[in-house]
Amino acid sequence: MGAVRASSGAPRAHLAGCRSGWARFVRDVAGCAPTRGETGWGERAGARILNPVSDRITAADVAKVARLARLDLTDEELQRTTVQLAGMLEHFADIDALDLTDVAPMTQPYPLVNVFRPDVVKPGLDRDEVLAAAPAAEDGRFRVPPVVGLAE
Amino acid sequence: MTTTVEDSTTAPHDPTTWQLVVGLEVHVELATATKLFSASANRFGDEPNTNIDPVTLGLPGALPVLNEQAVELAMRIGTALNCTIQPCTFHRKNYFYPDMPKAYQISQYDQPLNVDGHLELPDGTRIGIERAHLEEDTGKSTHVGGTGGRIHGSEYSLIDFNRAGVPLVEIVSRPDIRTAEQARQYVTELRAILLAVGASDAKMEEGSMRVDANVSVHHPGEPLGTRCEIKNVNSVRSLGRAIEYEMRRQIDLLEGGDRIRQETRHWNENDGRTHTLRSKEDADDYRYFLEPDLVPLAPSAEWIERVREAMPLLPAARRKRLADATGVEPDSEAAMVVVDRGQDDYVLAVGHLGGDLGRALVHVKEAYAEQGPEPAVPAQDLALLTNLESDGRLTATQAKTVLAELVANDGGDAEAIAAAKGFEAMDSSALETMVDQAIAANPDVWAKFVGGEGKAMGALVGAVMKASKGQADGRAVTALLNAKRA
Amino acid sequence: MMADDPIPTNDADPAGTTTAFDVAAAVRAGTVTAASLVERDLAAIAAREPELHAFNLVLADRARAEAAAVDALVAAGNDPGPLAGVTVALKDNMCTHGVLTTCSSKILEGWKPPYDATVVTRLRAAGAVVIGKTNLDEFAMGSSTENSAFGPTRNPHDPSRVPGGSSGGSAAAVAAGFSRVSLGSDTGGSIRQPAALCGVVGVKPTYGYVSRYGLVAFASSLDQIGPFTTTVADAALLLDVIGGHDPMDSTSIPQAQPSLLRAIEQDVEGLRVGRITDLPAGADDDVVERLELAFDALRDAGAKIVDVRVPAFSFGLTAYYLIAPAEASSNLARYDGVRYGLRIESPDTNAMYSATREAGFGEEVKRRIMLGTYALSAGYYDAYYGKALKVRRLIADDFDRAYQDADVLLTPASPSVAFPFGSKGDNPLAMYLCDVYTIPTNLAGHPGMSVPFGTGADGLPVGAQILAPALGEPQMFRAAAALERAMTKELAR
Repeated sequence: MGAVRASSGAPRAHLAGCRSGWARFVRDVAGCAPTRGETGWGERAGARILNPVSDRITAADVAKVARLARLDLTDEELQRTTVQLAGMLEHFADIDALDLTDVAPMTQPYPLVNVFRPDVVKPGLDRDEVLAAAPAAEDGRFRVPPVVGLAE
Repeated sequence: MTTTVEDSTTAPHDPTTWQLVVGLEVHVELATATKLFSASANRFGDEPNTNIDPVTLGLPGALPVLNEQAVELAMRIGTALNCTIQPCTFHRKNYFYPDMPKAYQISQYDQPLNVDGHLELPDGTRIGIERAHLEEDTGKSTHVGGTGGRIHGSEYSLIDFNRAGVPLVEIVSRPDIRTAEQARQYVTELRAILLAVGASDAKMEEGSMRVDANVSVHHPGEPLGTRCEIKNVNSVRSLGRAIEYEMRRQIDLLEGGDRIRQETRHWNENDGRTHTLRSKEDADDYRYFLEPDLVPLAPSAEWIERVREAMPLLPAARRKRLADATGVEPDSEAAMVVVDRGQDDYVLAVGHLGGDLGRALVHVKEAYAEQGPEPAVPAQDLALLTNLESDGRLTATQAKTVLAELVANDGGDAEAIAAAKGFEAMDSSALETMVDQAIAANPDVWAKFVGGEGKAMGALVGAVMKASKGQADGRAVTALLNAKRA
Repeated sequence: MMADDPIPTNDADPAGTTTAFDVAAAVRAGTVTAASLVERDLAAIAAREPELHAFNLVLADRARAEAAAVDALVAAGNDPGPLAGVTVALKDNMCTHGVLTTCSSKILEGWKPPYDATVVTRLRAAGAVVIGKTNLDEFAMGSSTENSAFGPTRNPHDPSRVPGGSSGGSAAAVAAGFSRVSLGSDTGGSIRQPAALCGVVGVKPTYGYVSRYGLVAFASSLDQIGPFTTTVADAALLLDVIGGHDPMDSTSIPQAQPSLLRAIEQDVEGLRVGRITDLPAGADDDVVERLELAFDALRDAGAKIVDVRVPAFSFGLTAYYLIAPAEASSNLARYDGVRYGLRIESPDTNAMYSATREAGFGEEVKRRIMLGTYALSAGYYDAYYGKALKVRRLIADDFDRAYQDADVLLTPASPSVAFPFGSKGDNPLAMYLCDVYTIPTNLAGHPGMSVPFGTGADGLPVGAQILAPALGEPQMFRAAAALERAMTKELAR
């Protein structure tokens, strides 16, 4: 299907023909009954991918993300995560069918602005209580192994 | 190849000349009572980890709430730097570092509070201000073991979170700076502005003002060169040295056929060099996204106007006011020094009391270095001294002596001091008699002077001074001699 | 309060005093002691908790002490507050000063917060007695409570089945009579879905209605705390206590909210109840049947049933599974082994982070951190996170249009009744589908609640979900109370 503009106030038909992603997964594959939903990760390889970014995520991409997230994934986890993320991203392709050009991102669930606190000191936490819960402390401070990533 | 450093942005293309291009990023801690997003104290020098709360420590469940006074101070900075104050948002800048409690810093990203301003150097050069935005400070790491508290080779680190969450404004200049001296002037002027608006105590040595320099070189008329960011510059003097070193380093590399690698470099005060500093996050992918725990900030027009109206006179305007009143140039040393000390109001007060402004400016500049913005010597006393001088009743030398007494005693009656010192008042008729006697005693010299030989003046003045035992006012003598020649 | 209502029990036999409403009335009147009610609940816990594992921590001694304090107030002629002697179980992602708060994660095992969440402060101030911390899917990520690092919670109606999740422990605690009420958190359905599966009332309020201060964040723009109760009135009572502005939460709605206890005094005559005609299909037949009966019940009670469309509803899952993991990846970055919680000692800080987080987080949490980090990373933000925020807008706009024609909407809370352990296999997407009907509400920031409405397959509870626009809690509660009355009638037949 072609992209459907979503900006008009009239009821939109942008779902009806959607042939990829969750919408189809929900409608066609599982019904919505998770008790019966036995959908493998690999079986959606033929799904129509409407956004070039949905190109397969590679193990190298995943390894980079794991480094960014500071997760020391095992090789086995890396492989599994690659397959799972690829499967998810494929499902997310359902929103590629939408023309979102004129849609403003929604960044607040409830519109508030200018929420302030007066500049008045309040008693803080007890240092001993806090440091007692720390994995390691010394001299009133938190102790950590040497910092790398900075070298002279 | 000869190397000269050209100070011009509009120079025609010239492949033999290197041009320095510098942009500065200045972080200043705001002078609030509490942190940017929580009510623990913003105080320097306390025992480690005593100004902490759930927000400061990034405890699970803690939520930030914006400090209104921090916004007010940031708006003052924006106003003083001629910025547009606009509706803005906060973002999370995600990276791991032990002194960054939440593993993200709340900062402003694509919608900062203050944008598009400028700062004018004392000589009138405008340096563009790209933005001045709010963000939170990190904690402090102490590296233990290894050599000299340096991070490299340390055995472990200790973290104090007192500084974490302290409100900062990051002031980002455009790359409009062309010399190390301009960079020094920019920081000096910026610091004076921050103090003037009460936004920060701006102490580089305590870290409440921190300067990073983006340095590059290029040939005039060619695209800008690759820049390096210089960190760990802890004084205005170091800033100049670091920029000069880095410029030299880059020129040497380029002239040796090498390329400049874009990187962050660390200034080492001891060896006077910059050193490569690996980036904190290997990929530098900060994954900015809108901070969902905060709401947008949109200062009202009334608030912006209130800040504008409450702006004190800024250093540049004060220098101009003082210059206009005293007849010196706004970027003269006297105007710079006196305004920097905050003693310009005092000088002007001497004028209002009928004193001589020019003399007052010089006296204050010379003798008031230890005095604050409110000198102990009553303005009235200094006014009297300048008047005694103007009236020729004290010579410049005598005036200096009396001034020293005034300063030492937090004021006093200049006339009485002069009398006590035996500085006799010399009226103009007595002086004229002495001048006539000097002319009579030195007819040859007088003839030369009348004939236009300038040097001759000195001998005549000297004779009068000798006769008066140094009591005569040299300027008055000169004036009399000139009058008699005419 | 209906203080002059007849008190149905006395101290010798507190068994009949089951609702928070009745407990508070009896304790305040001095006819039953809080102490005896706590003992009654502790006895229930002793009997079935080993089998169900609703709790990560039972606070027997503290609860007894708190109950004694409530009784002392009453004895001294003081009013302990509207929740006097009401036992409450807290989902173990709400900070309790000096009391373990784990989020059912190894990374926070043993952590005792140095402060109380705002809801905890408000509950105590109202005379409630905190009886324990309940199990959840690790960091509230899941729909079955199977993802707890400390083992799953079982459904009191059928221990071979899940209680739903992520607030499975809180739902099970109320369903099993371990506490009068409990609190959960709902990011994509984590209160309403387990409420449906456990046959209790569960409410996700409007975003900003209840303070999040002290709630360990999963996805900050979606998380809301809400109650589990056995009756709609109890839920109203509890929300009246924990709701309202909190200056410690910038996203807390500043306006005072009307009393929901007052709101449910009004019937549904003329209330417009919307049926979403383009709701994603796939709910089980037994659930669909009960939902039709719920429409009938509301119509019979005087409501008007109207058809509405929410075309973007089915994009909720996609938007949610980009936005929530993105925020989570940032919110969970603070678990780095520096200041609290688990640390795996390592030669340098970077190695420590990676080893600690690898060891401390469970598989589902790691999966979402990975997904969220990816969605926010350079080059992908616009394609994923940025786009999801726009879809979120579409969903909110579609709801807004629907609410021009309807005061509330009625949908299933869960596509199915409680399912057996392990039935989702290792397919995360199948589990994610459990929240297909609840997620869009979180994205819109609107309130929603699940009300028990009979049973489906195998006699297991079915929940009817009532949705309302932002701050539409009063009409949502009116509709819920009407369904509850209809159920009472049905059961009496």
